[in-house]
Amino acid sequence: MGFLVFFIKRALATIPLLFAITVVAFTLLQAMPGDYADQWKNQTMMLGGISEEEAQIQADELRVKLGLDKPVYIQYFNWVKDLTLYWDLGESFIQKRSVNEVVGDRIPRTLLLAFICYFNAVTIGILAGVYAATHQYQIGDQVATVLTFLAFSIPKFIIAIFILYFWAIKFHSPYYGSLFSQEYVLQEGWWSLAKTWDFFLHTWPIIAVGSFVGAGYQMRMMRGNLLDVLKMQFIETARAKGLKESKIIWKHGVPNALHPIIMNQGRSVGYLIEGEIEVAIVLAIPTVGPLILSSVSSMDIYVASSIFMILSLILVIGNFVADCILALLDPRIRDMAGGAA
Amino acid sequence: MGIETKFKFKSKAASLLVGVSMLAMSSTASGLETLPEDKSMSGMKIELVGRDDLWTYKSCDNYNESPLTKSYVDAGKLPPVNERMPKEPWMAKTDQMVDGIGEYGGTFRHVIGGRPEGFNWLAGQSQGWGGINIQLMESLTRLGPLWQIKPDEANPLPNLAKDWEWSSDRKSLTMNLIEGARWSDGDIFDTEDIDFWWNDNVQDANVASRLPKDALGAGTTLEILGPYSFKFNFDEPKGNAVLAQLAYMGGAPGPSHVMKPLHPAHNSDATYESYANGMPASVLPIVTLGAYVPVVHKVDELMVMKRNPYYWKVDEECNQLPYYNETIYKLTSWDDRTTQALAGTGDFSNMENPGNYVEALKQNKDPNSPVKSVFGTRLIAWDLMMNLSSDFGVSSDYERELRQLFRNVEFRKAISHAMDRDTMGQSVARGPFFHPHAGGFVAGSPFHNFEDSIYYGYNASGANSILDGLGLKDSDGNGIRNLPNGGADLVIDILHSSTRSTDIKLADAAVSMFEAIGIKPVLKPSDNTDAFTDNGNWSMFIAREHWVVATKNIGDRLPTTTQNPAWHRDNGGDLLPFEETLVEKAKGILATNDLSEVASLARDIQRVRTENVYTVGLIQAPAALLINKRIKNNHPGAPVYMYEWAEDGVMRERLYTPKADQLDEFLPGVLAEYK
Amino acid sequence: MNSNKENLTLNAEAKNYSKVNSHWHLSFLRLKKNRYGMFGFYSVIFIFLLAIFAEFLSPHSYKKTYPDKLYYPPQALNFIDNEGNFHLRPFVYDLVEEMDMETFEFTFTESEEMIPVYFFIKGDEYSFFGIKSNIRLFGNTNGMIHILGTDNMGRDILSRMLIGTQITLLFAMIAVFASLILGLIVGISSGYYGGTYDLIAQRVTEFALSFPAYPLYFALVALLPRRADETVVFVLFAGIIVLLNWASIAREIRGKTFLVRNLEFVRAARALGASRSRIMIQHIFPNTLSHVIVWTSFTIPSIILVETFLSFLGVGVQHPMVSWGVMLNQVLDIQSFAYAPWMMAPVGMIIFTVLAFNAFGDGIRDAVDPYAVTK
Repeated sequence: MGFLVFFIKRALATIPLLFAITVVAFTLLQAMPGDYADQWKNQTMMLGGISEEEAQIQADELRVKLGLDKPVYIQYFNWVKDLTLYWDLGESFIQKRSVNEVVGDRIPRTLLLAFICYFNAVTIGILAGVYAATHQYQIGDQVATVLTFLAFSIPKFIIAIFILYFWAIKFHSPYYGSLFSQEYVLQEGWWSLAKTWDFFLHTWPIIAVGSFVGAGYQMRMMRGNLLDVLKMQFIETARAKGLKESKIIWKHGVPNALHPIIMNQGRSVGYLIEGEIEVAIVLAIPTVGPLILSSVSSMDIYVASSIFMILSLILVIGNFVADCILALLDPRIRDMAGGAA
Repeated sequence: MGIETKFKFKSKAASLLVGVSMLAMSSTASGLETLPEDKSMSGMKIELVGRDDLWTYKSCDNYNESPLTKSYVDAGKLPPVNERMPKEPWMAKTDQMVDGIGEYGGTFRHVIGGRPEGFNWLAGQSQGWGGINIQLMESLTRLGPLWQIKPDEANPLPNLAKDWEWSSDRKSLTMNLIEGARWSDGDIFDTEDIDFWWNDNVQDANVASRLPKDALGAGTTLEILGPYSFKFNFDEPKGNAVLAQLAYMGGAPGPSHVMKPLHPAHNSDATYESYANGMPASVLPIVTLGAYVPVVHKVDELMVMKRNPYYWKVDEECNQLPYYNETIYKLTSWDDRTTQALAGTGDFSNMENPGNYVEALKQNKDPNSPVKSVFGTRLIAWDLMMNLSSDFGVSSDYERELRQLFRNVEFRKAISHAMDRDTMGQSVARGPFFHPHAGGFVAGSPFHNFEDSIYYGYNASGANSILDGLGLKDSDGNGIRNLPNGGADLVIDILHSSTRSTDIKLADAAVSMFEAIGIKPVLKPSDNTDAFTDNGNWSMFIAREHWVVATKNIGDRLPTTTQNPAWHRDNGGDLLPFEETLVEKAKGILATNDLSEVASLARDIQRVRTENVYTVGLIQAPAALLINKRIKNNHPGAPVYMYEWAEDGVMRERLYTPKADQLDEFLPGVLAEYK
Repeated sequence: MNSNKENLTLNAEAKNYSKVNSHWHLSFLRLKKNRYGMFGFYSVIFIFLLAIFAEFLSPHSYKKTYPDKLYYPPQALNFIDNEGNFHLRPFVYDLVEEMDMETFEFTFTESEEMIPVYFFIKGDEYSFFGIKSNIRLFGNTNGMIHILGTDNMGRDILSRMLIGTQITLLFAMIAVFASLILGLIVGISSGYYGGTYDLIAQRVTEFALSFPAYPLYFALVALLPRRADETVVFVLFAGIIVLLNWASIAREIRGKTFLVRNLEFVRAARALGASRSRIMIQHIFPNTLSHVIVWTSFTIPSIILVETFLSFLGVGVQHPMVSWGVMLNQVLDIQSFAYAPWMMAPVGMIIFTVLAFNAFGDGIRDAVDPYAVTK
């Protein structure tokens, strides 16, 4: 019962949170000087060769058409209204289509890559952590530790630059610069194994960097926790009783070591998406990262605000799920939150 | 190793001369230093040709077509090629095709950073730039290939309009369209399309057409004379500037048979809003007069275009153009365009970032490199602009004083003397790429002359003495000059792009140069500099500013209107005396038809402009076209930009790849099919 | 997972026990046994020394440009010259540049001219905590010495990297400590007072935690005032970082406070009439110190990485201030990367620094955790 109450309370508290974030996001973007119509004007002038005056007239018309001349709060209100009533996130000025579509193209890719990285990170990290803990201070552990430290010390965008240089410039890779190869890009319908493999050939830098860094974190945590657990009384007891070492580790050690790790998973998806942003911006891979940069700098406000909201939603859900799992596992947390709330 | 000679290329001598002449020059205009001559990097002597040497309009008895369209004819889906051609198609002359008659087949890969807004170009929508707009928007006249034409014949070239005639009083212009050309769905192209374009788009104030309503002069009217000819009637005598307006983008007609039903004037259910969005980017194929028809659009990834079976151009052997069956546009980013060209995954790129030049040249030497870069003349330049408007965007007394300083020609000269352009150039890209720029026309422009470019070169002590003379002493001893009468420290914000590495490096270089003359610069990088320049919310601005053709974009560079140029907005009644002179000369250019008069006025403009340091020219560099080695008929020396971007100037309809090197098409065997 | 045991230890320490058995001393002993932790510890101290003495250690002023020597490669320190003679005083060879006439690539060869390295030279002037000085550890005022080469304006990369250490570290310290103070105040007070105040504080904390960081940075950076000089930008940028970082420590501290506030000794203090603030400062805060130390040593490197990325993109620290990210901002094009790879030297520094703090943090965490049984 306590858990259900907790769950509902937290869920309800989340919604105003999301709106508060969108208000801030929207206002911030509006506070920046200029708007999309200005951008459009200058691009048209430069690329189209028409004169400033002519472009200005058209830009002003565009401004009215897009509703950018109305005050901020009205624009925001309209947006929220569309969002809640029609699930309509507005329109992208740049791509001339609904934000739902724009975001709908990118977010699934981003999430797919993030989850792959997460899966790799957790699998590799935890297995490596167990190995390192059980072979403490031996070669395997030393190597793993050094790699881990490197994983969270080298800036991800630096790795991305190196990859860019070798992959695109030195090796002239045909996989740079697109999401799919020629044969697959126009294929409609569901993905075949070959198409999926092709996707990875094009997006491997994100996966590589994300998995590497993520695995570093997971491994470190697992190793530390497992080492602590393995030194506890009940483990010694089990050993004394003659239980097989592997059983001790896997049935008794690891599950206990996992508990604090689960606590930290809430932030993990958030980290992965942020890491993706760095790599994707440097390598121009069309996931959410470059979209944030471009929509903020070109004042495509509905796209930018929607991304803010969606990313926050992901972070919040991540935290929320982690808290729920924690509450399920640890009754004290339930009380604490319940008591204070 | 194994290098021949040591190469020293800094000439301090020239700067010294300037110093001497500067101090000697107090009131006379003679003895001014002019821009040192440069060695052009292209090393190419471009042979200029006459207007009629590139193409003509001629009929054939029989035409040849590509196997792809032939397969459709055989299947009964298309009429035979002889029935698809106009009476006298546009015909490319083989003499000017460096690799001769081409071979059919293969795909051509563009990479662009823009995105299609929609296909209603009559209502001002862009399809993404980078060559795709140019390809879809065939216009009445054409400017791109003018880079090859002798200067005294360099008036706009015929395209959809095959010839024209001025009345003797130059108050009317009769134009004749190519006869019997068809849109890509087979519908005839005739004056009905011109009528729709002019009356329902250009003249309709509710439509954001590329050609503004009064662009050809207020009161201009259109008179339809027949299915293939029409006449413009003007209020005042006009010049060839009118013809220039009828080229890309303003003079591109749209398919009236498709668009009339969408327009409110012909459909009571339509609104201007629905009209503007009536050709969305997702609905394909669309109807065009261009060489290719878009058939597939994958957002943020790819646009695939297949050959237009009704394209109205041929080569001298009566083969229907274009040669490539397919053109694709990869939708990524502009920087990516160069990276992909170097990687060999893209076929064409304007290389405008000098930081990449050495890499490109290295690739030229490597026989396995997929690209060949061809450097042109110096066509891209960077200036430092000062906000000359007394009032616009001023938000404090300090700024007001700053603007008055900027309006003082002596101050501008001092800033120019403070710039060590050689070092700036080397810091952006080591090597012989950069040459100092005096502002105004770039060295590669046909309107540029070294003797008309007055140059205030590097002379830090000269700059310091000018500033002292202006009363800008360091009154509080902190190393920074102060405004007169114990005013504030001279702190100047410098706006520049945060995404272009050349701009970043120039700004970085400028910092130490400003400090050397006692000014404290505050760098203000932004990825949206237009937001600041539009509001006048800036003091100094470092950016690209290249003027190539005197007749183009005068309105952006000279104060012929109150809102221009960007460094002197809101200038009604605020013009400096030399600006008034510039306006007079500019009006002269717009009014004349005589190309040599244009050239002479351009020289005057250059002289007045540089003498008064309208903007502080910094450096100029050649641009290069990166073209994949497979591509033939790519005329070496085609500039990245002159009368129009290289995509037009290179004449893509003539390009081809020999069979053995052709790349697989994304959609083989497919043509646009209309319902 | 704390219990009375730790707190008894702490309080007992405060009163009676000798220094040898104090919690901190014990922790330090544990730390000493951890090789990585000690490596981290010494490295962190080394980095701080580099930052403090940055100017003294650099042979040139970080601002000084050498327009004749753009993009010069590193010069190796030698003790033995080409003829095989040993010199006590180290030296470098002068460089001669040549340009390939086809590709316009530059190559550098060592000339015969030896440039000796002098120590404690009178070099460019600088100010050290307000004192003007011009003594620099090594260099040569007559010849060119660039151990790590020069950048696009001929500035010495080693000197800039050292100053970058100063700025980057200063930035991280300011941001971390400001976040910490804010986080502590919110965390302890909301954990202690509870009720509506806590409810609101919790929501605000969650709000801050749910904001996607990079989008917020990009948006906020565009709002900085126009003629703000680099110092103001620095402070505002630090402020933005604080806005997003205080929440995580606040959350942790709040949790800890919950656990501590109900303990015997706290209730006893309250019963004795201790004021709330006294309790929070004297009793609760010390119990959070281990969290604080660990959080600090892990947050500093993460802030360094964020600042580096944003400065690399051009929206972080501004000229003429130099941080490692600013130095990398100039490597945005292929030319710099391929032909002047020494400009990437800050990467090594970044990795080393982040590694050091992480190792140190790791070691500290193991050391202060009372449940860590000695290995």
